[in-house]
Amino acid sequence: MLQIKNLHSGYGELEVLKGIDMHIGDKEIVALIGPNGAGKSTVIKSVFNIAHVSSGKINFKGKNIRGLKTHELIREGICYVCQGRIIFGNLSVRENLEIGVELIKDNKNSRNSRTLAQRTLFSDTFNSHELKSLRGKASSKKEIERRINEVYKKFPILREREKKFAFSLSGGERQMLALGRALMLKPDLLMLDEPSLGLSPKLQKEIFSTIKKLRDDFNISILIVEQNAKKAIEIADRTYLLEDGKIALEGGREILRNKKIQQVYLGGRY
Amino acid sequence: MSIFSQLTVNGLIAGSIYALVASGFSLIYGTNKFMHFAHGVSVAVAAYLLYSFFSLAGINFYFSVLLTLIFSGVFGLLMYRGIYLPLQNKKASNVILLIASIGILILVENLIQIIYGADVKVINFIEVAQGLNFFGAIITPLQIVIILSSVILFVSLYFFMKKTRLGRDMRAVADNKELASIVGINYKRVASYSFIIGSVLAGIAGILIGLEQNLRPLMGTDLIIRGFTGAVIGGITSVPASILGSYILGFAENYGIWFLPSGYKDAIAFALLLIFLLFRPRGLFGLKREVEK
Ligand SMILES: Nc1ncnc2c1ncn2[C@@H]1O[C@H](COP(=O)(O)OP(=O)(O)O)[C@@H](O)[C@H]1O
Ligand SMILES: [Mg+2]
Repeated sequence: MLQIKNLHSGYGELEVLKGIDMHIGDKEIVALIGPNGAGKSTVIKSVFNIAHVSSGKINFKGKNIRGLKTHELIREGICYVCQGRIIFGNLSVRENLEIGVELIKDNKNSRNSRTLAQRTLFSDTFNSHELKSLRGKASSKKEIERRINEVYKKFPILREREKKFAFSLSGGERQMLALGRALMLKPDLLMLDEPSLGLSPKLQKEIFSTIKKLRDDFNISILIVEQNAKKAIEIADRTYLLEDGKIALEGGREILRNKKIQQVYLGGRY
Repeated sequence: MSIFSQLTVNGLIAGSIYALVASGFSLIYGTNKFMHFAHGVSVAVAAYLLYSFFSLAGINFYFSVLLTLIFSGVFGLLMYRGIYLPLQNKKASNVILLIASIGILILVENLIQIIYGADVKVINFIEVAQGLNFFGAIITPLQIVIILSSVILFVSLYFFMKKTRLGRDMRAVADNKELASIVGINYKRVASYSFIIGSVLAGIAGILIGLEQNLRPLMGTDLIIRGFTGAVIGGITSVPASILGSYILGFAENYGIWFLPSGYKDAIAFALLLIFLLFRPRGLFGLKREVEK
């Protein structure tokens, strides 16, 4: 699905990533862990053309996506839930959910109208006639409504808060809203930057189990960047350890027993 | 009592004009986060364009108005695409953009002076009409038009921002530009529209002022100081707050004449500007939202 080869990237003069290789397979959950400042967020920002990529390859579904503009990436089927300010506080909860999906509908380019039909939340329940009708404008509105209802079903609290400004939401609710907004697009790949940041232990547990379920419910690949190494390794199929801009270690769940991981990352709340 | 009524009416007229300037200024500030002081000269350009089309070229008045509004939008887009965006692409800071905007303001004002001369111009569309008596105050039909059309515009602007997709995208960009790009909004497109819409609002202000007052090459500087002050009083990041702030400024200037000689009118605006910048930079109605880290 996503291939990153020999990626060098940073900000202005500062080189943060010093040649990394990563890949994410179909319907795979991959964790990226490492200390603060290692460059984890920069990996995602490089894919989204926010960090400056100086060399290397980024391919998605066989297509070179390096150099695409930030706002063009959701059309390729990649969604990014960033670290920190993840929602539009001055927009209502509902507007936050609608915002990406309408942009895709807007685009007349054939690939996008096709993806809209293909990416419906429950595409298996549509027959081909319904799929075709989705491309019409009127039914797109219905489709957006349908997707919003699916998100509300998954996160019922959002329905209650629908008309409220998003800045009135709590930390956990914001995370759900950000996830919901990404799911509205039914992406092929979801990239999450520290989704558990600032949440209570109970909510962290909930978010991790939600993320794990997303893969099966929505049929997507997930990259999860985390400082909470143990939780991330547990829900992931594979984990990369990033240290000082380089991949220091790669492996499946067995790396939980790796000496170095145990000493450095599982001791504290890394 | 009739002095009070007259000052109220005058405050309402001044406030409407300042609010027309402030609303566009604040709309552009919201999506772009720099001070577009050249907004003032957009008002002057519109007034002089209407003068050229209607008074000099003798084109039908309503067609002249239409042409003026179209040129205003184009002028705004040109400033963004031709000057600000290239600077932004070179990673210029918002302070550089502010200096550039003052540069545009001075340059275009001087161009107006070279082309039209320094003496005042008059657009003779409406014969000096009999003032109407309104609770003891005298108000002309044109002044009623100014007040009504600005109120209608502000209500439409509100619904545009709340109910249309472009309006929502503008609010999203104003909220968080980087996140807006991540969710698929083409930031440059939204910024371009904000310049077009903001500059058309300035154009409407220019037309109404041009009909009400004499045209002077430096009128833009006076107006942007008023619009900016109104925006600061209300809260520069919010268009409705800037509009309210502008009406407050209009009333303050006019009621101030009760206590001060009328020559102090300018001083009132500057004093309010300084007081707010020093003690309440977010304005009276600016949202104090907890800023997430
Ligand atoms: N916008 C930026 N401009 C300059 N330096 C940055 C920027 N963002 C991050 N950095 C630097 O890049 C390095 C890696 O940051 P980041 O990728 O955010 O690390 P992590 O997500 O692993 O904590 C840090 O040293 C940080 O200071
Ligand atoms: Mg990070």
